[in-house]
Amino acid sequence: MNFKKQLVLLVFAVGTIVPLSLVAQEKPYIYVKSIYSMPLTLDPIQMSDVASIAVGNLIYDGLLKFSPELELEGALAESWFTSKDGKVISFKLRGQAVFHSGEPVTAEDVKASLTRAMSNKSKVKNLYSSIKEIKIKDDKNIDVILKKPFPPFLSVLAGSTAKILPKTLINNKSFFDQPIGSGAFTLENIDKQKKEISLNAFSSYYLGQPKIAKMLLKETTEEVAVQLAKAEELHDLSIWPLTENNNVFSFGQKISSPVASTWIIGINTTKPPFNDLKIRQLFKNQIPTEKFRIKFYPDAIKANGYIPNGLVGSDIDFSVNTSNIKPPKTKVTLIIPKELSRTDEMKEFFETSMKQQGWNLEVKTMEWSQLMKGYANKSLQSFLVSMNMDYPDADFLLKNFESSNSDNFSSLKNKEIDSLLKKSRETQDRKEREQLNKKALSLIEESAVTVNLFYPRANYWISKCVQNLKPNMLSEVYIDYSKVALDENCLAKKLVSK
Amino acid sequence: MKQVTLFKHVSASLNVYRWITAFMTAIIVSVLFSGLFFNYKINSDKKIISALSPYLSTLVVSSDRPELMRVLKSVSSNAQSQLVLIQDDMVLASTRGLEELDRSFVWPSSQVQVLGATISGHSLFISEDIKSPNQNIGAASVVMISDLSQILWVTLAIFCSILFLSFGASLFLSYRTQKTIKKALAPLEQLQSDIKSLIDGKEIETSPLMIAELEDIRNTVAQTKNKLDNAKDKLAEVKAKKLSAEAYKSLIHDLHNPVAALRQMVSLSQDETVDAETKTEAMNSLPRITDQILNQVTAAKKNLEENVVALRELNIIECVKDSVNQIKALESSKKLLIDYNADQILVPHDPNLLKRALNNLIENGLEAANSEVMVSVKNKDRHISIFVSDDGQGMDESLIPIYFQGRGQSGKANRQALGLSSTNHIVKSHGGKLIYRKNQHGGSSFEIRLEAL
Repeated sequence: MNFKKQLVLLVFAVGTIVPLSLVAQEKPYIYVKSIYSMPLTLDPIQMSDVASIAVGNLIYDGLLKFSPELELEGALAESWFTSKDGKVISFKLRGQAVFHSGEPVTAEDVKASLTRAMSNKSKVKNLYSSIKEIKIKDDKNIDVILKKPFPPFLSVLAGSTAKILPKTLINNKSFFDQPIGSGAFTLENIDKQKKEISLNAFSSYYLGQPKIAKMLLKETTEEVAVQLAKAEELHDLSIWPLTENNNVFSFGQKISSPVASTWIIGINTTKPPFNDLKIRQLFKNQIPTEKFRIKFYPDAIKANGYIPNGLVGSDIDFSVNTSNIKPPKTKVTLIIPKELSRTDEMKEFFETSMKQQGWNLEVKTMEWSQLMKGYANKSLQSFLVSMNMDYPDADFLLKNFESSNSDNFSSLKNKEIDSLLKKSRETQDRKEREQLNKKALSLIEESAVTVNLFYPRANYWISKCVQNLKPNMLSEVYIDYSKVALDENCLAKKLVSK
Repeated sequence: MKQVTLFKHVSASLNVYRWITAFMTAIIVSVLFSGLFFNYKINSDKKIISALSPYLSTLVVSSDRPELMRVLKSVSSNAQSQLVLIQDDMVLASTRGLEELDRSFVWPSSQVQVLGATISGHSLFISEDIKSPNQNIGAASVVMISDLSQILWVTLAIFCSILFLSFGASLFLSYRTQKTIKKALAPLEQLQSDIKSLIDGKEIETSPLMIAELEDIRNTVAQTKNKLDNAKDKLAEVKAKKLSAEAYKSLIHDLHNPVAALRQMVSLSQDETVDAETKTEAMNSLPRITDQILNQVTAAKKNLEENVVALRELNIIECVKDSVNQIKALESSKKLLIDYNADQILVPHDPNLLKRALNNLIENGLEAANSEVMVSVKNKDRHISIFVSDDGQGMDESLIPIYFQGRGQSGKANRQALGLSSTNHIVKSHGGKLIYRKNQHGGSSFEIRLEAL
């Protein structure tokens, strides 16, 4: 090769490699995370779906938060103290906590946010119904006074609905188009066409600037998400309930953990034939839950009851004899989320197995957002969902069956259950609460408003270049992304290899 | 065999035992420690679990995993161990990570059972069942997993420390032992010194030895030395007497010729048949012969009276050196060299007389020499020879017997040459011989030849 050609080659090589390396150095790496749906809302007191909660937990912070092992930790609150009678909880705010706007988080903001959560427009007002008064002591100190002691209240404040928002901005109508919180990430942009949400690391985050500079939340289906992960265009599939034998784990990292979740088929008691208790009980007994679990989610755990495994109330032992009941001729429709993988197989499975037992069952798939709408307006006859917990207390799931709760998907009205829940909330005795909740759960089982399919095991797929991702036993939405990092050397190697 | 100091000898002898003792001590102590600690750890951990068991069973009944995790985490951080709570073979709570929850607990494949605990790799597994008196909680147990690395490191540290200390103690002990032995040997050394002094003829340490047996030995040696000296003196006396008798015999022998010559001359002077010239010559030689006889008798008498020998077994080299140094101090115009092939040659001799004899020979040699006189001592198998050689003209060998007998005329003055006679007598008194020959340079070489021991 003559000198001129060598020189040209050298210039070409330098011209290619140098820009690549410069790109690798200058442009921050974007952490791409898959979500199954765009959030339905970014208003914490309106959230009930996982996608909304997942985004909310990135942007907002509350007074408290859950550790991966479900221990309560201070978030915006530096410390807290509960009075002996359990009615007064005093919080001291962190001095360095600020909103994305730069304004400090004050007791005024806390009062405004909690008051808002208690208001009538709040979907979660029942969670805050125990609050009697909120007293501001000074800029950084605030007392929350309860009507009666409510043991799970601190857990409520660690949940996804108890986020603190800036008082001065919260009442702006367009606030939630570009919301401001005090969380680890700031919202840059929501692209509804591309179905992407861009977030930036909040440099003044009170726990230190997150190691991920930029995050992109991308709406996909499970199958598309897996393909993108294989193509190394995604770093995080933690939102998806992957089984441990999914071949996506042949590359990347697998992080496995139990989660506080129960997959159920929810039953609407207002929709015939499910307005008949016996039919509901028969339906509950005849759904092949174990076969479904083994076929589709073999690493999940058999569900003993409605409460997820490892939480008080999960070991309910209840059964009812339905041998003398016959299935109705009325068609029963079961809705399953379209975004799940193998939905065709699931459809086939349920229809075939129930048909064999004499049921006229039709399984339909529905987009998640539509399913949630149907869930909310109680238009669905039966539906397959994952019931996640916002805090690790049976009360969170039990309240779904309170007669007065608008979130009561089954529309069950049982005074005894209501009474038991009321008593349970009023007692500070742990054992007594446990007994009351167990009784309520037994009644719920008896009411057959849920078919408890399984307790899922979270198998999170993340890229090999992702570091410090620690699962949370409550839910993947509580993973602390302020500590997650991307290994730049790993990413640079992948870039060069491409 | 190479000589070593006492300490090195003791140290070398104890070396193997030192190492073995240090190792055994270190092993025993560290094994004892680790065993005790191990036992304590197992019992302590079991007690912790037993103490927690009632509360844990309550939480297991309630399936209150968050509270179980919190309690286990607290115990774990205090006990510096990992804890796993198992119910019906499934992990209900664990401080080892969330990955393990709701899965079967896997015991390590390779394990050893010790004192009711399980050891696998560098981990100690202690398992205790949890029982609820009022409710069936299935097969529930808590496994406490402790890292043995710390115990192993501490055991290793103890082993090394004890090894070092034992070794140090052993070295110290052997040092003290050496000192003690040295102290104990002091009387022996004193004894050795005293015996040496006795041999050298010096004054011995008068203070008695502190060890009775050694004092007895010293006394015995001293007495033996005295007896030996007395025996030597007696022997010397006997020998001197013998030599004196020999000297008389020699004188008588030597006188025979001159007396015979005298008789001949008297006979000639009185013989009528002899001519007058012969008679006159015979008459004239009578005084000369008579003088010679008288000189010889006088020399012999002088030798016998003045040169009474007292033989003692001493280092003849010292005697030769003294003689040479004495002459050197007086005479320095010519070279006086000394040569000897041993530092010590023990020969029975009278150092005073022998020195006199040597001085005479050396002085004669220096007078006759051109430039140098060599005095050499040779130790041969049967005799010791002292040579005095000069590089002068030498002497007429035929006249040597006359000079040895004392009949010779001095070349220095008009008088009798009694030096060689005296020297000869002294040598004979020692039982030796005085031999003259001309050396290779033509000068004189006198050899004093004495019998070896």
